[in-house]
Amino acid sequence: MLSIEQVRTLIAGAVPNVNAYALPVDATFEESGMDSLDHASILLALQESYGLEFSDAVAAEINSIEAILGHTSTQSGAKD
Amino acid sequence: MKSSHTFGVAEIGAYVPPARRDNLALATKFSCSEEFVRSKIGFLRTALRGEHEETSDLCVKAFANLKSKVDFDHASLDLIVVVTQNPDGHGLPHTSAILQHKLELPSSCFAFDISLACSGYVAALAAVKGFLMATGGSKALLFTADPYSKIVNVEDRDTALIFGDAATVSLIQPTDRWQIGAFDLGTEGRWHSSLRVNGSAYLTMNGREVFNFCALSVPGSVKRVMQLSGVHREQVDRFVLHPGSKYLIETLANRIGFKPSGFEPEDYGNTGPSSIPMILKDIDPYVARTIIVSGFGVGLSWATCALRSEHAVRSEHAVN
Repeated sequence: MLSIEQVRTLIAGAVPNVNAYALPVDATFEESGMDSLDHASILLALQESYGLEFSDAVAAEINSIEAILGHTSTQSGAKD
Repeated sequence: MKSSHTFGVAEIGAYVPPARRDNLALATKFSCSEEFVRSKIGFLRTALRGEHEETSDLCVKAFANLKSKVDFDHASLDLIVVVTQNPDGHGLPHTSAILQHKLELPSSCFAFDISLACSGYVAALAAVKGFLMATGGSKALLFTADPYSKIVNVEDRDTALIFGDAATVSLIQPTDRWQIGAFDLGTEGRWHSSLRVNGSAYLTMNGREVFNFCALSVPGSVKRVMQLSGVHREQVDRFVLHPGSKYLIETLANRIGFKPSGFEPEDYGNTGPSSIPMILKDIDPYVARTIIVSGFGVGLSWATCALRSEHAVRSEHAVN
């Protein structure tokens, strides 16, 4: 299970032009000004850093810090 | 005349159709901002072939451009190859045979197509070099012409802003210019459905899968070619990667460790296998003597190789 801090650090690395440490936990990436390519980079970072892979349907739902935390707490790093 | 030089890219000709589709106008239909198109997609316009312009016709025009730069005896040609997945007609006969006829080349000039897209130019360098070495040949023309306007649905947000039409032709012969060196190639067929023409005959693309594939496969391939070539990153004068999008180039550049030098296809789009030679044609091979080229896409597949010029001072083109 990831911590909020870990998720923020991951987002900061994946999308450098966004202040990941100021993102509201429940705001979608789109609401925070990120686009589909930023979203893809975040998902790729989750895959590379934590071995998480997602179907397209699940990927679309993992669109906020809150959603990432929720997904990783239920999946425990298992492949989707 | 036997040459002590190894096979290289002696010269490149190109043709980009004059018609354009305006991406900034099209993007509004997809609720894409201008900022997104400029900074992430990178293509402000995509080139479009003429309504009756066939793939081989694009090649003929690229050939004319090549001949304006370098002269050679057509009878000395051993091979022409066309890299395309959008051939003339239904693909049979192969487009290179049709082209061979249009260019009035001798029967001693063999012709075949290579069915690859964005990895196609680099993979074809290996195929052409190998063919010439196996058959004792000395001169080939490597054409790229893959007009995606034949298969792109302008209503599809994932593809309509990306692909443009163009053709190039590279003269491959013994030369001191950009000699064809080490390769690293691969295919991940498990991702074949990520980029495909579907039942409606339109191109479909799973952008996330393609992005992930490129980000995870290409940097390692580039590093392997550098190792095989005995060069460090600082010794490479230029990295020329297939410009799938501006965001992809920046992502790959960050992972490989170099600064992109501009985004050349802003005015004409992602031209598939033509994308790399479209960039190469404007680079001085005696200034950027050591370059790494890498193409990646349909398959999904990647192909990377090193090109090195022997001398720092420009020499005369060999006229055979």
